[in-house]
Amino acid sequence: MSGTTWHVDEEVLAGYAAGRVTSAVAASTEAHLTSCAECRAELAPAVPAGRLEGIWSEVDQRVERLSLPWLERILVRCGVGEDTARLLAATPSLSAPWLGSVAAAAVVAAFVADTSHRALFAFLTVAPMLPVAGVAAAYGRDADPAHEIAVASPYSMLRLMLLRALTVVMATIALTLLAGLVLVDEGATAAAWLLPAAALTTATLLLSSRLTPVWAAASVMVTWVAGVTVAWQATGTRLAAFGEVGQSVALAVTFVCLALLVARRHVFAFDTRSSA
Amino acid sequence: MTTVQVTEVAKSFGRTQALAGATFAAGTGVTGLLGPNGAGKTTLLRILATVTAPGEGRVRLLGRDPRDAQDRLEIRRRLGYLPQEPGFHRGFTVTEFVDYVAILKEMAGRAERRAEVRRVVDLVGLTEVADRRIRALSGGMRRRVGVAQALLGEPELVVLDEPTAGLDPEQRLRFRDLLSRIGEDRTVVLSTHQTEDVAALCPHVVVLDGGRTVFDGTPSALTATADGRVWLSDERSPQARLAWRTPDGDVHNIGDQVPPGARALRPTLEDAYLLLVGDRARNSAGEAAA
Repeated sequence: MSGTTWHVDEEVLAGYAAGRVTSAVAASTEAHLTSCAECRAELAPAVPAGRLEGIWSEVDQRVERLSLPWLERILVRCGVGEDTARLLAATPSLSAPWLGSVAAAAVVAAFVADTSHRALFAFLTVAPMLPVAGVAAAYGRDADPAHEIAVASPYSMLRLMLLRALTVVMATIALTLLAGLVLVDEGATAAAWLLPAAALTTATLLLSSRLTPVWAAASVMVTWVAGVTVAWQATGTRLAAFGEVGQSVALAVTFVCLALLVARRHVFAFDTRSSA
Repeated sequence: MTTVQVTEVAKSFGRTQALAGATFAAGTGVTGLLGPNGAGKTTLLRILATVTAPGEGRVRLLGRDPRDAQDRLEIRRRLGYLPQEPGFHRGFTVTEFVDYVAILKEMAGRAERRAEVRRVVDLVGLTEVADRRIRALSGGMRRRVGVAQALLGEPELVVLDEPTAGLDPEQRLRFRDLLSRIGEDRTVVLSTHQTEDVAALCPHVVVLDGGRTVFDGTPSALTATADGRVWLSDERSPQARLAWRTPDGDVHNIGDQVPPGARALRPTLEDAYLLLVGDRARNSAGEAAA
């Protein structure tokens, strides 16, 4: 429709730009503007720059929100700030493949656990290690490809680590808990791994001040399996580590590790790299 | 004004000594760091980027001490860093990744941050692929993403570990243009294996070898160290330490001294660099034999 011969009245245009015309007039002005470059050129200087910028930034934001990766969209919907959501989106152990394998592992372990007491023991031992693995893969030079850039930035590395660890732990625990409660017919015992999970993850975070997160997680897992086995052998009860004493120890370990973590927060300032 | 001061800095990783007493100072402008593989360039740059704690010796960056927590935070706020192997979250697009770094750099204000992200992406010429996933980009483009994030927030100290690696010739020239403009009012320290980059761009060159500074000065002073040690001949000279036939058919020789009757040649920065590093290798071999 380039052959338009009539043009919008100057006063109407000015009114349109200022938002003073009725909606019917606005609609017909807009219909004309889409096909008439002359009137658009006429209108452009009359539009207040501030308003235009406001509209652009709003369009920009909406378009960007639509194009956010799925994880960021979910996090933002859960009330996480958009900046934080982006920092979390870079977490390898929050990726779909990782969470998928965690869910699969939890389901298999829980499914088997229902068949015998021995299998329940296996489930309770494996379940708290899933969030530990997630934490190891959430942060540090082995897991985060842009770790070095992050270390050189002013953002607190302890904060970034805790932020990611917390999100990974919550996601992993939710998946495992669901699998346990649905598939294991043992009532509350199916959740007896929760406090151990808290103890193991905080211990992993604390050890990350000395070791890389992968080594920290590996040491914690070995210690855990050894501890569970020793408790069983010493008492003759397979699930001894998950009894009242075990739960109290787990709680105490959690608090001690958290306190030490806060005390050692400055250690995280440099890269924990051991070789050239 | 001196913005980077490194005095007798040593650093070991287990039994490996990466730096054995490196010393140099740099101010506004581009400083080029040359040296063979394993000379300690990356370790030195990592210390300048506050990623690695200095072992021994004194380091002052922008007038502050990177060992002190508060000072380190101040340095990091005014620092841009391209690591030797910058990893990327490959699922991110170029814009998303640079924005991620901008958030880590505490850039507040969404609109301003996004404008800054666009600016640096444009500076390295990646606007057209800004919405493409990083995993879909070529190696040279990824390198430029790395450079873009290092320029966020117009840092006063820019530390770049091999910024021109993997760039095609045209991109390298564009990059020189960009860096020389940044070097006009800020401190840039970069490492490279390309002596041409240093000759073309860096008013200040530092050569590291075996973890020590073996040269610190201007490129012309470095070139002058090879005066009288480069010559042309029809055939490979027996006195030459390194020689190669040029496209013209002559043999370009570098060695200890121009033999009598040979056609002496004005040395290049590359000749001087090869001689400097070669002399050191020979001396240490001699010491080991003695």
